[in-house]
Amino acid sequence: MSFLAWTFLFGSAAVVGPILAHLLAKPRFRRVPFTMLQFLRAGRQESHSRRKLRDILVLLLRCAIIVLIAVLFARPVLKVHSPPPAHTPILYLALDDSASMAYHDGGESLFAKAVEKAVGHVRQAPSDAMFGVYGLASGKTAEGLTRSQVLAEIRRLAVVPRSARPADFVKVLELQGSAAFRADVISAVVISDFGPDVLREFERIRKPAAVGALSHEIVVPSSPVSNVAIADANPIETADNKLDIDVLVANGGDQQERRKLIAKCDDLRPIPTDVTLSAGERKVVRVGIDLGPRGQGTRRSCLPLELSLDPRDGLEADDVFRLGVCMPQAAATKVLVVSRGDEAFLFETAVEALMEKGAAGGMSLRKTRESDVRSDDLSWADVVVFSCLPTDASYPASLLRSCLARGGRLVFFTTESGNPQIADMLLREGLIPAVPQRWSQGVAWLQPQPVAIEGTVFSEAAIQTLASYRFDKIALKGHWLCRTSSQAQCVWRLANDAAFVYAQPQNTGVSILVNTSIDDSRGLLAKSGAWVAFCRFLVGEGEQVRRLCLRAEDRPTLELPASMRAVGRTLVNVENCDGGKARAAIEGVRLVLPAPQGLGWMRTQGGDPTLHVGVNLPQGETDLRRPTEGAVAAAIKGAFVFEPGQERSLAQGSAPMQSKPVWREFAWAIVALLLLEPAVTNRLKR
Amino acid sequence: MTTSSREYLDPLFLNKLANLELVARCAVEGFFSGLHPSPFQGFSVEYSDHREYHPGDEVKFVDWKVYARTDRLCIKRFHQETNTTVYVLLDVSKSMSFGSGSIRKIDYACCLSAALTYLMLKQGDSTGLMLFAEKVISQVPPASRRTHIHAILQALDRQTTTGQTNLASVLHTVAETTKRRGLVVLISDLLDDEADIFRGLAHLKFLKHDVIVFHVMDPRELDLKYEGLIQFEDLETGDKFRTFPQSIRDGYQQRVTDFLDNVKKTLGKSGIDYCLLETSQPLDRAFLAYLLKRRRLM
Repeated sequence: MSFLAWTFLFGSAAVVGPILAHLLAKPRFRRVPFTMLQFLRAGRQESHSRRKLRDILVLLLRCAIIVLIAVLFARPVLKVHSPPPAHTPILYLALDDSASMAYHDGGESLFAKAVEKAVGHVRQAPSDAMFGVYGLASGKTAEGLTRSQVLAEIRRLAVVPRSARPADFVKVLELQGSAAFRADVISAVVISDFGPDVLREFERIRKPAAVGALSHEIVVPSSPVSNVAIADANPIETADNKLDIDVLVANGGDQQERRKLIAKCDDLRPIPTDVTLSAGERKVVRVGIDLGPRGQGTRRSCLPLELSLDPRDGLEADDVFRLGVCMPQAAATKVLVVSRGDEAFLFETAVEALMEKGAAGGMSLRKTRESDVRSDDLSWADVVVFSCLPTDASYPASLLRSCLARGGRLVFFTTESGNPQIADMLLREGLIPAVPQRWSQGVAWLQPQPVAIEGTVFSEAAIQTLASYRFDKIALKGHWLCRTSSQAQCVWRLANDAAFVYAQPQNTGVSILVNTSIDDSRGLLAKSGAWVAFCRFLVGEGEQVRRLCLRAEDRPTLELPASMRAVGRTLVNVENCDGGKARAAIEGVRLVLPAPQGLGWMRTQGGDPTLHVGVNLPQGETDLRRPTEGAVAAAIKGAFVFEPGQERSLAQGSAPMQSKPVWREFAWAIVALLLLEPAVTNRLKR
Repeated sequence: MTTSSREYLDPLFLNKLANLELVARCAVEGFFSGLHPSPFQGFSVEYSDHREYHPGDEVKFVDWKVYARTDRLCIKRFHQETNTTVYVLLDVSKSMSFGSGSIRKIDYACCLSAALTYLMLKQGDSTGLMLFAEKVISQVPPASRRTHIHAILQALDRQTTTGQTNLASVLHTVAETTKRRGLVVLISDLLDDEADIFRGLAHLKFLKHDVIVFHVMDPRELDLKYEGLIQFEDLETGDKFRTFPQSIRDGYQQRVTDFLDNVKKTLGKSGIDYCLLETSQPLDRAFLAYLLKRRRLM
């Protein structure tokens, strides 16, 4: 028994009252002179014993009334087991309807074989058995089926371009096991090709399901497997407007294969490449696609590229790989670093790291001394980084202003306060958001990330990258107290609420002041691992070649190319793989696509440019190497608990408990005791 | 009338007794003619039998008619009616002081004694009074003159309840000290051992006394109608007894009824007249009813 308001049980302590009254109270006898005591004494023993008995009875009644009232207020409920139903054997059939089951070796597919085996299991099941069917990849579930219903459900299953998820099936069984007595004898049959990916998924299951009986059927081709797949592809832009694609080709079969890899890009000529792979081998093949003279091939920002293998094999879905390739529309970002000595070494190293990371040459770097700055350097640069505030006016402010006017950036570090007159001039001209005034010594911790971002001045991707580093663990030796312009914004603060980064939009560009030194003389920022990410945040990043492709089971979210990041646009019409119409949402720099319907292309419509997103088979489905019986048994063993008699203990242990309120019974008991108490008391007086 | 007379003898009550008499059922001995049958032959209007003449008999008693018919001298004899001696035994033990209502048992018994005395003196009987508890405490010797009632009333007025009842001893004492058979009236609550009481009364009966027992009881003694927790304290012994009277009332009443039935039956077998008087009943009504009943049975 449990109580909904158990605190009222403390009220039962009131029984102490009547008990104490019973123990302490002495009966008050009225003194009466009398004569015939010999006639009274004859009934003495009976009188005393009965009186004591009735005293105790009345005490117990009163205590019981108090306790029952307390219990009634505590609202008691009984946890009762549901009555066990009749034992019914339930057979769960888990059919692997993943993409790999579509493999066929000239005859029927693996999935057709699996269906036959499932039908055989159904026919061999006891006549009173109930059935459940689960599609390991599609997740389709049907429970409580009769024999004819389950056969229909099995035939309704079809291969879907997804990977098997046995963990979901185990969860279904676990829920079924815990769903009271319905599943008295749960037995499960898993029918799959048990490819490496399926086995891996079984091995990852940490919470096994209890079943009374378990069996598995390995469905494999009758002849040696012949399957070569395009597992992945990555575009790499190289010079001379030539697009190189690294294609990962894998032999998921049992024998050596020779194939021809054909790359088709829109209306360009198909490019064939011979590929030879031994059994189980994975190889990266680089395919070069000539996009034509500069300006011709890149006139389209997104190219639909289809890679295919010839001839096709038993599993055709993995013989084709589609990807959209977004070509960079802007030139590389040009970074000019102006320094007095070698203090900008670490910054230059970080920029070079970014250049390497960009791979497509989205950034170029030029270094110069402050005293050697030339006008054409400033005219060339998209981003000018000053390692410290200028000390003389050797270069005209008009060049800096023109840099901002064409969307460039000016970045100032503050090693020292610099020349106050030059700084004031830059502040007045709007070329710098703030000028340092006085150094404040003392450890200053950084906030984890920027606090205010205006428009697209700073790359959202760069900001998200910053969040990966623990900037709040970085301490500076101090900070400058600055005088700011009216348009300056503090986009990053220190923990003591002082400013760390000021930004001031100017035309389409922005000028930035960083309240620390470019080297580590004012703090340890330059030596931390977050330095490259910080440089990316300050400098921005050049546009690079991107690929637009998904796996059929991926969350369909892509980073938008810069050309599509139009302000105010939130929805895009999309044509799905099956030709259906849908809408995709633009969230910041990301495009959230609808769930892909099959394999093929998803295309944006009604906008410029048109994005082509390839939807391809999951990688694990391409490996069709035969599993060993031992490996399958070991993988399944960890996912299920199979013990003789387990089904009975399972049913008993997980029997559902019902909460049955019993306060009505208590209320009636109180009423009965309240009626009984005066009757007993009156009887006592008689 | 003196104060005690007014206390015990209500004129209205005495007026009701004017036409009544208490006559002994058996023969009693007396000096004077009276209402009671005598064991001796004497002068009376009621014929008894004849006997032969003996020298010395008075000639006036010779039945000449019988001599004329049979030629034998016979003496004609008649039943003698005499007065008698009444012994009123009044129990003045402590238990008689009990009274649940307006009147105590002893007061009721005193009134009864006074009424009896008045009645007996009125019809010419000698009446004496004995006050007893464990033993005879005081007594007024029998006398037949009318003014003797004052002595009895004074004795009743002076009585105080004391001691325990030892009825058997007193009855034996009375039996041994009375020389003539007469009428013994016992007024008591009979709270003593039943067997001893019966033995004492049997002793009196053996001496051919006519015995009347007036059993005076309080109504609470009969029904025990008390409520709540009660500590009963015995008036004679001082014993205490705590109980819920409600719980024992039925058994108590049954035992009292058995006791009374036993007394009535045993006394009836012995030829002793028994009369139970409850103090809740008006004395005049109860006593008159008894007298009328007794007269019917004569």
